Amino acid sequence: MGKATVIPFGPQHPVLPEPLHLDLVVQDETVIDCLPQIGFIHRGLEKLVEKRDYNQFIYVAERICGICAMGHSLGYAETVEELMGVEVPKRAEYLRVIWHELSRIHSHLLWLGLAADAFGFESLFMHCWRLRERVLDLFEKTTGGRVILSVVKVGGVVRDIDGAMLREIVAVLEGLEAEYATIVSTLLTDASIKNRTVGVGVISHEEALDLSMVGPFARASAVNYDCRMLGRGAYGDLSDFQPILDTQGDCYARIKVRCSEVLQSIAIIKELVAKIPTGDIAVDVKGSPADGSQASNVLEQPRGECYYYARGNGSKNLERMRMRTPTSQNLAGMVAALKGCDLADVNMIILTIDPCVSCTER
Amino acid sequence: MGYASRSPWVIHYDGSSCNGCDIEVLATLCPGFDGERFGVVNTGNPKHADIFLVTGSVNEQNIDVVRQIYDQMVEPKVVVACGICACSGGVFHDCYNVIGGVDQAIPVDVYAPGCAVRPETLIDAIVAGVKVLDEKEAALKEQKRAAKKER
Amino acid sequence: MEFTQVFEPLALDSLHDFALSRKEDGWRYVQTLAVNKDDGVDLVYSFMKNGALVNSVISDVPRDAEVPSISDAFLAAFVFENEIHDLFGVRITDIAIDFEGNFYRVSEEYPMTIISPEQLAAREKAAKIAAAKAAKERAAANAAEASAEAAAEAEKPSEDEEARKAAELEAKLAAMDPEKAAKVRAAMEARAKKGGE
Repeated sequence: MGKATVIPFGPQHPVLPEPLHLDLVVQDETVIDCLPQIGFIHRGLEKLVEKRDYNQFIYVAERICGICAMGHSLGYAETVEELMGVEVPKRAEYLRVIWHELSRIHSHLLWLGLAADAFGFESLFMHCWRLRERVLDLFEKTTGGRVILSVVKVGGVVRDIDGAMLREIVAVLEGLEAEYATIVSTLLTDASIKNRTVGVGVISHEEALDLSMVGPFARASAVNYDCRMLGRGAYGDLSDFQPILDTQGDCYARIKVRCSEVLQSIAIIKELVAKIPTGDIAVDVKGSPADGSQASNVLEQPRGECYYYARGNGSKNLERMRMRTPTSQNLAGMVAALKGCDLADVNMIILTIDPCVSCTER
Repeated sequence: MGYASRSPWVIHYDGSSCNGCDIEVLATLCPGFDGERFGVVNTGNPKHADIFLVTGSVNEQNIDVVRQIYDQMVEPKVVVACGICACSGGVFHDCYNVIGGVDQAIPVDVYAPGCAVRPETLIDAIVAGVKVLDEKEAALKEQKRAAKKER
Repeated sequence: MEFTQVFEPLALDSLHDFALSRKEDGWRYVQTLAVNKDDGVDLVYSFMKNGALVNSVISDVPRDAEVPSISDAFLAAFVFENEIHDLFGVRITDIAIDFEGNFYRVSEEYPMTIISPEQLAAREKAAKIAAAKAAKERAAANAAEASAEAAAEAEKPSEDEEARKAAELEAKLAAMDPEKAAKVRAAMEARAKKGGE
């Protein structure tokens, strides 16, 4: 056995899309310990609630992360609505979920592309991002934005989607489904991809529970939890919702779970488009959250459960706003998955966890 | 046109961006907008790069990283501030851990605003950057010639 | 599975035993957060089981108190405990992966404990609104007791006048085409807002 050496990894690194720094303690070619270091993107936006009132802060909340933007604005709005006892119209709830599921498709396609790039499959990366552009076009048509949508407000949504556009969304997704099937079959059957991912970075079911992991990372280790199964908002009207699980807990299982989740999101959108009720898309919200009132909320982001907390102080500004994002919850799991892996597998394992650093640091 | 401007290689670093601009930088180079057809190639090595695309504002911890990447790039080089956060700090300008735009750390040649910055804006910004690159290259050549004469 | 959320108090002394018992009973650790107060912090620990989200609140933890880490029971807590140490200056002992104040490198020490002028202004405004509301309620109660009839008579005409005007305007707006009506409404709202400020 060789001597243990510390290898710094990141923040600027060719395989990392985001600035994450890891100190990898390596013995020969095996990683024996790993220390994540963050803080490169820390902005301190939770303190901005003091300078922006609760209506303005939604635009800050969705800029926590450009990939999960829709989810953050939704989670923030739901929390403030809970705090102030606001009832959102049914149509608004449906529209929110349609956009949220679209952004899950965009996020997972983005991730599939990055994963393909991580094992050197660049053409597959390009194909994933080509498909993703169609979802972004739908965003642009319905909201005007490509990544930051700004359609949710406290009390409802800002824009409606008319019937013709809803049908177009379904038509585009149906077209996407067919092409997506060929990409997935490549990803899941290709021998070289299997060689790199099967049995790599394994997290057992017990470990996943022990480390309180969330999201697809946990579901790949058969943790039966997805916030959508709590049936809140429009999710409660779905005829059936079962989290997508896998039992292997390795990189391959995590790819498989995310691949299936895209199809699940398409099915959810189709069902909601068929069921969407007519009516208002927003209610007027007046007044301020009461002094000392507090509310919490959980929401399934593309990367897993996100927790929100808000406390009022009687003024238009909140006393405290807090988001616990899925990646910060999964950091412990990431350290566990990296321990004992080969140095060459580090980028693959980090990517299959799908870390979102700007969410983590805020 | 100089040799570098025919195929400008870019390096991308995420300052304290929210990812919105980062994925748009990548989307610019992917099918859909296909920046690569103009010879724009993404590289991870600062020594290979002509244009430095920075997203997000600078803070206490990443200001040195941004400076180091800039210093490693060889002349002539161009910096493009991608997105409003990189230009001025944007929506986060009054956060406690935000110093300001990228120009607080390194000289910026092209500002590309937007939240998130649109791929069309980015392509425009890179084209504008290429022009600056040519000017800088010409100035460098002139300097060398002058130095030769003096000798 | 149905979602429920509760907030319940917790004592600082029993925090560690509480975490161990949660672990024993199979709860999932959700998060830890701190809320800055004038002389200390509130700590909120959240756990979840079968859709029930339980937030345990430790109120008014003094700034110099030592808080035991729960990262021995739930490793995932190390992220939040380091964060609370760096941003709020709370001393948390025996964190499993302890960064000793180097988790975030920020320009000022314990930035979340600084009470900004904006926050102070907001608090004062809230206190004023609360005081005004209380005074109004008191005055209303007094008036009702003293000369309910007379006061009501005096108030009524002006209210009626306003209501009549509003109704007239609504009727006019209904006759207009919807786009124009929306514009007029927006303009009126903006004016009302301006007047209110």
